[in-house]
Amino acid sequence: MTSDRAEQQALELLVALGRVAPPSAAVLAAARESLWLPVDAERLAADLTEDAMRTRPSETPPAHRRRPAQPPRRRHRGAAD
Amino acid sequence: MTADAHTDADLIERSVRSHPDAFVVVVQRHEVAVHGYLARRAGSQAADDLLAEVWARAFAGRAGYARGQADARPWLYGIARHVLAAHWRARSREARATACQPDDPWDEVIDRLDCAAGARAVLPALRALPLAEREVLLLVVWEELTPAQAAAVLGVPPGTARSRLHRARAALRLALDSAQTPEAGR
Repeated sequence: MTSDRAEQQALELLVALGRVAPPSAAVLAAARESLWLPVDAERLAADLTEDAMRTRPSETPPAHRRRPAQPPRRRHRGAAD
Repeated sequence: MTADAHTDADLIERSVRSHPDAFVVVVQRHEVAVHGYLARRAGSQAADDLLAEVWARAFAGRAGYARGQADARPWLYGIARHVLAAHWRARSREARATACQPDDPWDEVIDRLDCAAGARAVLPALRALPLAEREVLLLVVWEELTPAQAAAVLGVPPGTARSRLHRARAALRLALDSAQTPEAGR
């Protein structure tokens, strides 16, 4: 047998080895079902954020006023000082 | 534009930005393929149980999806591979507890596969391959990925995947040649 033919045959046998029965629709649906909890949680969080932004647009302070002036930072001196 | 017209990358990005449910379309596209990936390596029963875990991990990690990859399969197989590894680790712990240790999960997988009689000719060669080479070979033959996509699944450079594939195919060819002409080895 030539090498090319041997390789082709080996690959065909491997393909046969990897054949599995397709899953049932119920199995796929059950796995998908588990996604809805995190999807809904994210959607809810996004909706709440959007609502909050929409109902309080004027409460957002201008950028230059958002952060109060910080007091000058104290320097910690070590015991040796 | 319908969801079918979007690439996986488009849908995943959309699901991250504002519509998390767009991710379900990606799941629907690849659920049979990912189940097959799991079933070929761990059996159908385990695949049924592990599929939901793949989706949960994929959804949680989708913000890290590489947008350049239009097809999500390599990314999903990479996640499925980690889920399988965790499954096998748990199985090993159980086996150790009962004083029976499976060293190589593939022995079990191969035994469980419902294969044609002819396919048994390649089993010894497949079993003898180093795990890294076997993984690339099976991603290409079973999952129909390109060597570059297989590299993405395994997290190795494409050149590494190509050379592993080359070695695996050569070993398989040699094994089949020797099996069919036993006097050649004498």
